[in-house]
Amino acid sequence: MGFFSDIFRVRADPQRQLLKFSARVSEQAVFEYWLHPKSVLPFVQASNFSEWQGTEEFKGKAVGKDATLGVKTSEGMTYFKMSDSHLWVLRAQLEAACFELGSISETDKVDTPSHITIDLLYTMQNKLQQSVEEMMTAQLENFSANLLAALDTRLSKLNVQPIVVQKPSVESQNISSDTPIFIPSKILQGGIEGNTEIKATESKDDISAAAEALKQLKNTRRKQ
Amino acid sequence: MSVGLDIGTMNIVSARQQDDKVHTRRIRDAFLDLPLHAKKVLKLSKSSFMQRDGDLLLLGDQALEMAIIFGKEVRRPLSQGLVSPSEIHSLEVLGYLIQEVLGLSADKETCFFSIPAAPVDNLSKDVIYHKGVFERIVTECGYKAIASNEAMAIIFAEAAVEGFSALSFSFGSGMTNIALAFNGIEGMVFSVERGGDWIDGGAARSLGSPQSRLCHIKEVGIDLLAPKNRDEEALTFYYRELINYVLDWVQKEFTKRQLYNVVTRPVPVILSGGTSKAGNFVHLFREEYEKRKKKFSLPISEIRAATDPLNAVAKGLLIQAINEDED
Repeated sequence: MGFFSDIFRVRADPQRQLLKFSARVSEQAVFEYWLHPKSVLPFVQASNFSEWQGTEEFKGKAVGKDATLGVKTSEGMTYFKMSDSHLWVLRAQLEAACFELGSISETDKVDTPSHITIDLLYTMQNKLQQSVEEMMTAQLENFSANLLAALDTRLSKLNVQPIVVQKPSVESQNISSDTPIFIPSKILQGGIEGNTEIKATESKDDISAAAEALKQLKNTRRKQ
Repeated sequence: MSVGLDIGTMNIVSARQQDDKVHTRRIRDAFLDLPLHAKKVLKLSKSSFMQRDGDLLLLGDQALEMAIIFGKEVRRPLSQGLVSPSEIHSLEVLGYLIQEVLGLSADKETCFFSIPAAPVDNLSKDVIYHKGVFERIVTECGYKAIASNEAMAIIFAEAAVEGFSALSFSFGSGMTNIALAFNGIEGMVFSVERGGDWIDGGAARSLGSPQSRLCHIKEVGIDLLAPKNRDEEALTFYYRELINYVLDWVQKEFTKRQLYNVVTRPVPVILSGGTSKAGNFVHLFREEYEKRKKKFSLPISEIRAATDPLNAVAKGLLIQAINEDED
């Protein structure tokens, strides 16, 4: 049976001289195992996981970036799938716990390979960044909610006058008749010498009848 | 004595009633710069000119003729029906020309002078300055100056039989003025910024020719129903476009102003102005009107040309001036 896990926790129990290994396999399920330090020592002291390293009770192997952890239980071997970085993190946690129980001394510690260290640093950095982001997002959301609530309270107390938006009309851009406009005086100036040929015509009086009709029309309108 | 004064982009015309006759005086509203040494020749040839300080300006029809000969554009004191702000000489030239056409009055005669309506297709323009300038010039000539719409003047001159009910078009050079009156009451007046100059300009651009030349071709005589060459074809094309443009605006304004209930019987259409003098203009207008007759909201009884297209506005203004003096 294999699980994909990215969260391990190792805790030392000095009274019982045992190691408690917890692996969260889903949001709802955590597997817990009590391990004897001796069963994990070969795993802790391994410097390379290209082959299975550890004991029959607790062993690990990494191929490329993928790693597998095997734990022997009463129901047989349980396998956890993870990245090689996580495997190295687990190894470091177990090493610290073994040191706490006195199972290994400072000199027995095995250095973690440098590329793994870098990977571990990145993993930790990412984790930290993620945590910080989550924390900040939560705080900002909280701040925003508080701010909006305060704003609503204040706005409800304001007496807002309705705004009348006047649509600009084309007519309003025109110059109204009472707009003063400068008209120059003395347009007819002296000192102009000239000669003009005017085309003069005369025609029979065809306007008297129209002038009379207009007069009648106006008189009728006045009487009405 | 009453007098009517039509101030157009192309012509300035005055009209007076005297000895049972109507006397009109007309001068071409155009000028051309000439070198000062040409003055002697102008005097000998009795040409129209004016000189002030160092400027010598050839005036009137001869300015237009010279412009055609030398391939130059003639200068106008009015542009698109209104006082031209870009012409530094415009006020002086206008003042001089009006004084020559009108003459000075010693006893404050009544002078109705024409003004266009504000163009509906260019709302940034108005006629306030234009009206003020001519009011000042006519007053300085010694007259009692009264401004009146030029298209309405056509109705007073040409639609007495119909009780001054008509739709009139004044196809001028700078713009086209339109008026609708019913029983002498003004229903709508407006103008569009297209006229004879727009026709000349459009045809000139499409043919790569000076505008003055196209204007000359137009004025020499053109049959709009039978254009003889490419120049005339181009001019006819723009005439047709202008007619459609003004009819569109009449329909639009008539609908907008909801004049359906005001005009209770069909009214005649009267076509006037220098641009309407082209051969078969009335027929071309009828053709274009017939195409849209079914959709045209304003009931039309007939379409006819003014009896005297060049002088109709001045005569209409004279009728109003006489009426004013008799009141």
